[in-house]
Amino acid sequence: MTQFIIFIGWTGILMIEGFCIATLIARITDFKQRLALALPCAALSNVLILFLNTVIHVPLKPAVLLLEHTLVVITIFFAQKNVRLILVQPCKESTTMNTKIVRSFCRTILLISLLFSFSHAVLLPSYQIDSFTNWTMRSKISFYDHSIAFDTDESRGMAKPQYPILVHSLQIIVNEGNREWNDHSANAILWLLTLSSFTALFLLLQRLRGTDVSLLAVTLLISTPLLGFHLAVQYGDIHLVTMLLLSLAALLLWLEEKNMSWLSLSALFVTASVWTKSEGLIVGLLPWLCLIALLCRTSNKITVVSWHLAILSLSFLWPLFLIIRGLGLTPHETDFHIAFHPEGFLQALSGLFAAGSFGVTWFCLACAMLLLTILAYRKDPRVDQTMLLTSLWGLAALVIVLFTYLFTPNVAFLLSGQSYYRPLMIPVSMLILSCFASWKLDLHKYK
Amino acid sequence: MKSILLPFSFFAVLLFAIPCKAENVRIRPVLALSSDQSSILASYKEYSEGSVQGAGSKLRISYHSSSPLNGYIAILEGTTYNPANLYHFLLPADAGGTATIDLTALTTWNGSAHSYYLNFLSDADDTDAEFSQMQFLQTTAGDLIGASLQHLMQVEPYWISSAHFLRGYTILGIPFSILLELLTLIVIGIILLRKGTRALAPVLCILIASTFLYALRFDVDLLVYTERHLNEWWRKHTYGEARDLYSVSDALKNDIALHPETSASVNVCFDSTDYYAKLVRYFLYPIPVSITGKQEDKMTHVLVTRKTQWSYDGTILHCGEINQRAKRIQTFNDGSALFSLPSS
Repeated sequence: MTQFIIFIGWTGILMIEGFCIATLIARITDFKQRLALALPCAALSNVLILFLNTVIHVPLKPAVLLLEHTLVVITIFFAQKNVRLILVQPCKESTTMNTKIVRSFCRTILLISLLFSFSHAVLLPSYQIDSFTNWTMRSKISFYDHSIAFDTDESRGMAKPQYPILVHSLQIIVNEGNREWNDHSANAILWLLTLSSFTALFLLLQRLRGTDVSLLAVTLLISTPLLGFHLAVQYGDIHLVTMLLLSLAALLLWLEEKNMSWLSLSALFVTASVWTKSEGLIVGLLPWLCLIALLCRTSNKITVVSWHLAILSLSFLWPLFLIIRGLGLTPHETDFHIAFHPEGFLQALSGLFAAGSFGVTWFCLACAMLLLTILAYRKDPRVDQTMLLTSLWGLAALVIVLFTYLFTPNVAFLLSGQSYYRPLMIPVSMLILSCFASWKLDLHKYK
Repeated sequence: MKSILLPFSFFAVLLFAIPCKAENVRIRPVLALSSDQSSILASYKEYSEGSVQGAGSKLRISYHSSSPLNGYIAILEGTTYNPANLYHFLLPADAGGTATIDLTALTTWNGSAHSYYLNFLSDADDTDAEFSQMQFLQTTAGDLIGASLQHLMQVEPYWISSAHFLRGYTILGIPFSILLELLTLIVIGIILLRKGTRALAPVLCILIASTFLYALRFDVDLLVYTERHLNEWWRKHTYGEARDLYSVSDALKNDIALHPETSASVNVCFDSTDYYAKLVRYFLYPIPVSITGKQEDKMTHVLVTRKTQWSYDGTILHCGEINQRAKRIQTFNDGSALFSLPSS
């Protein structure tokens, strides 16, 4: 019971903190949106606090962390009090038989995913092998050490200190105050983060394209087999995906509403992605910067970047920290031996179109993108060309993943099935989002 | 040391289908990796393996054996088989009869001629098992339709590797996703030919519907996992491939708590994947758990799990490189055994 109270207490603090951050950064009035964005925002502030403690050698103890979080909450609370919020009238939507059918269907799929993820992530104990090494194991070791663990020899169970610590930090904070590590608390907070992230994504998309398109998009994302499976798996991959999706959704809203606050939120989440997994730097931050450069008018580019420099600079803290500690940026030393590996080509293709990780998603996505691109080229009014441009982010992520597994020794992981499929969750989800954003669908027209 | 003799005699029979009813025992193989095979592999005394080649939906085996035989079957790809596609069945003891193995249970089966790998294991010290005949029974249209439905409804295995990739579904050896993609391509091709790019919405709807169709199939498996895993956890405190290891971890903690004055150190003795050892290490931390399987100083406990060759004579435990006086604390349904070592 005590552990449950501690979990609720810390979750409450994180929610308040994140709510204030969302209000300060995004400047939105919608209570539901800020509430949904709270935990994803707090995940970043929490990891920065634990990182600061690591750098200045302050032990991770409950009283210390409570004090630090309280100070952050107070500071942000007073900072956001004077923020002028932007009121946007919600779009009025009517429902037809088509929309009712779509919504019922989507809710059924989402309910099944919710049942599966909740049962496996919260009710059942940790099960996946990487939880016992790089993820929850490291969190547990760090909890007992009262500092982030940087083991390299796996004698205690972890060996990849290069992994960024956003996920670990959340697991650690909800256990602070417990005498012993609580496995369920550690997994439950991550499940809540996933739930919040997808809820926030739905609400942001709803603002952009209405309830039905938003519901379709989120349902399609969650029902992508491997992604849906990972809702119950406490690896960093799903959280990297959700951070990038939130960043992209905020970017889309910036393009639509021309409100700089959304771009700030996008910058915040792309920064969070770098703190979630090292891939966040390569498939997150760098393509994001390139996309901003492409989308902004020349005169605005410098203004936009400098405006967000403070947020974006937080992305480089962890890589710099690793370099200073002499740890290297990746646990795989051979990542930089570049040569084409033809033996992986068929497997890579099969992984996209024939195997079970993505079902028919990649095929349908490719068809949709081709069609939308042709129509955008013809300046068809049913396709938003600017929104479609954001698909360059997902395409860049796809190219990077394919390059990594076909042109470096990581092909071994592709052939053994250990990796390749998980990183592919990033481009597939981002491209789905870009497609839905660029398609001006009106279900009410089809009766 | 188990003798590797070949006491069985069986031979491949290419069939010319004999249209007759299957009699005696009908057996439907199940995916070997869907259950723990370690107890079978630990207990067999003799085995025989070979291959048969032919086309048919069933394999009728005429044999006699005074003790049951564990059988394994897989479709050969060249000269090897994919362990993920190995199937298990049990041949009951029979003084002289036939068993009909349903080959359509193999998800890579498709009615055409295949080479099948067969392996039989016997727990008897001196088995009298003999196979007199093996013949394939002709595939019918009903077999093909039935197999297609069965293959589509085969549950995606919930393996440790599932977080890395999902196998997906195959129908008569063809990936279901490929079939669905072809169907989708035909439908949207027809729509585009008739209406051109005016049909953007219908085409995109077809693509979404196709994606959801596959998702619906997978969601059925998610429901199956939810029911199955919650059920086994609440009733038996087991979970997937980890089985009893959660109970093992609890038993270890309880035993260690009985001797707080001793600085505990656990060693795990196992074969193959270190998944099980790492699970125990996680749940026991900060109690140190070594997964080397070697004799180490200051060990207080040894856990034997997923180990095919080890022994305990009531005093001395022999497991891997560990040869030490030990006292058995508890054994578990999944074959794991927990030992405490006397303090030196």
